[in-house]
Amino acid sequence: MSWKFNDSEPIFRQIFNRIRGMILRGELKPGDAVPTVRAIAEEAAVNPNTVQRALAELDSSGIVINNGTSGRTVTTDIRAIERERSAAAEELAEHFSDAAESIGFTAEQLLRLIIDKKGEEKNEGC
Amino acid sequence: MKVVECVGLSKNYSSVRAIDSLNIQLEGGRIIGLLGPNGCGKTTFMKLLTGLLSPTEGEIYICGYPRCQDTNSFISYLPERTYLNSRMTVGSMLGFFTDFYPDFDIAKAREMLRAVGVEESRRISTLSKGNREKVQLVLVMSRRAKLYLLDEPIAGVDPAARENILRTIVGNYNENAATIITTHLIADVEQVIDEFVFMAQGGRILRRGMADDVREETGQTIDQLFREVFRYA
Repeated sequence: MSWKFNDSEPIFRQIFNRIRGMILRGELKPGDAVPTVRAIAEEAAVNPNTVQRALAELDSSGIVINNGTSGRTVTTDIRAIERERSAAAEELAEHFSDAAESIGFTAEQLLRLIIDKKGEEKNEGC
Repeated sequence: MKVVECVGLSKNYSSVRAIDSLNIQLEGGRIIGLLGPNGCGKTTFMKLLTGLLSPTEGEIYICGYPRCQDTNSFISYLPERTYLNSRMTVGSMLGFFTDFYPDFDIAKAREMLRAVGVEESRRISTLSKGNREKVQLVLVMSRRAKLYLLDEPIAGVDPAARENILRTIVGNYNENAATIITTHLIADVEQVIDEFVFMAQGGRILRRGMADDVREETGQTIDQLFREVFRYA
C-alpha cells in the first residue's frame, strides 16, 4: 500500500513527521538503519526527490546521522532524540491551542475535558 | 542538465495553431507533470519531441543536441494509444524490444513484470486494459533513456493498477533522466511529480513550479491550484 497523505501539508514534511514518529516511539532504535530514499520512495509511491528532502531535514534535526554512501542511521545520542521529542511536543501543543480556539474553547478547557475523560475511562475499567 | 530545450517552437495543423512559439527548458533528475485541459497541445508537444511531427517553426534540443533521428535514442515514449501487437505474447514483446533498442534492459523488464504481476506467457490479446497498460509501461521504462515521455499512463485503469504503474515510474527514477507525465488525473500523480507545468491552449505555459512549494506557500494541492488557474483561462 502507498502511504496516505493529507492535502494541506507539504509531502516532504509528512514523510519527515512519519519517520520522526517511528524514531520517537522507538520503532526505529538508536543505531538502527534508516530506510533508503529508494526504498521509501517505492513503498510510499512518492517522488525520490521529495523523500530526499524529508531525510535531509531529519539529518539537520540531529536525530538521523548521514554516513554518506553507507546510508543513514538513527543517532545514538539519546539527548538529541529527547530534544526532538520536546520540539515535536511543542508543535503539537500549538496545534492543540489552535484546535481549541477554533471551537471557541481555551486550551485549558479542552485539556480539562481530556483529563476528565481519561478519569472516566479508568473508573469504568475498575 | 537540460534534457529538453525548445526555442520559439510552433506547430500548425493547417489553419489551427496547436503550439504557438513555446519556449521551455526541462531539467534531468525530475519527474515533471505536464498538465492542461484536453486539446491544449500536450500530445502535440510530445510528438514534436519524438519527431513524429515536424515543427512549423522553432528549434528543439534534446540533451543539448538539435533534435534529429539520433536524439530519438535518448527518448523512450509511451503513446496514448496502444501499439502492442495483440497476437504476440508478453515474452515475445520482450524479445522484440531487445532486438529493437540497444538500451533495453531485459532483466529489469522481467523484474518489473513480476512486480506488477503479469506473466510472460500471456498473449497480449488476453490481457485486461490495466494489464496491457502495465506491460506497455514496463517496456518503455526498461530502456535506459534520458527522456521518458509518458502520455496519459494511468488513464482508464483502476486505482490499484494506477498505484502499480506510479510505483513502477518512481522505482525507475534516475537522476540523469527527465520523465514527463501528461494526465488529467492530477490528484493521482501529485505525490509522484516534483515539478508541474500548466499548459493552456496553444501550448501556452500558464504556470510552473515545484509541487511541494505550492503546498508550503499556499496550503493548496496541485489539483486545487489547477482548478483555480484554469477557471478563467
